[in-house]
Amino acid sequence: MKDDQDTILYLSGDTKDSILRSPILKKYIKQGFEVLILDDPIDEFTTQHLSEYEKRKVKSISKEDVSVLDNDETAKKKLQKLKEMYKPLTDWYKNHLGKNVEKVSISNKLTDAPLFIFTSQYGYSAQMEKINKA
Amino acid sequence: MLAKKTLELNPSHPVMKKLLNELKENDNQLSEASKEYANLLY
Repeated sequence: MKDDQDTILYLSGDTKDSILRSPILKKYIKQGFEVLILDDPIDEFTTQHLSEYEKRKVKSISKEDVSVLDNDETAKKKLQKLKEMYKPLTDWYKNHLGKNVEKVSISNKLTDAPLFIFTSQYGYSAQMEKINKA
Repeated sequence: MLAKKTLELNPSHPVMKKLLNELKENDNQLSEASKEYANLLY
């Protein structure tokens, strides 16, 4: 794990292959972060109750509040500028989708994919929702 | 209980650039074809 990585990152899913194909994983790997691949359904329940391990936070990269990527001032300013620039499109998507989404914003976590649906910090993850529906 | 969803857009993706340009050029309106495409992406 990177010396400056103060958060244990994970991504859960049905199979290792499907997790490795996720469009949100690419950038973390590209920037040298280690991400735990959790493909067992029980992992999702465990991580719900494990917010910290050995003084490191434990977070799913499928949640919106993870902000370990591009953490320097220049990147933050660039993202802020992009958010302002893309305001017409984020507003349009929010109006168009209404209650289907809580928020629409600009991402610094994607490389090839045009968009991605993240889950909020406190709500269920998409994987947990899937398990509950089953 | 449903997951609360946040849609995040990739500003460097060509499709997002195209949709933004269309909105800017057409007074925050998208053509039917672009709307359909935006829906399809979601």
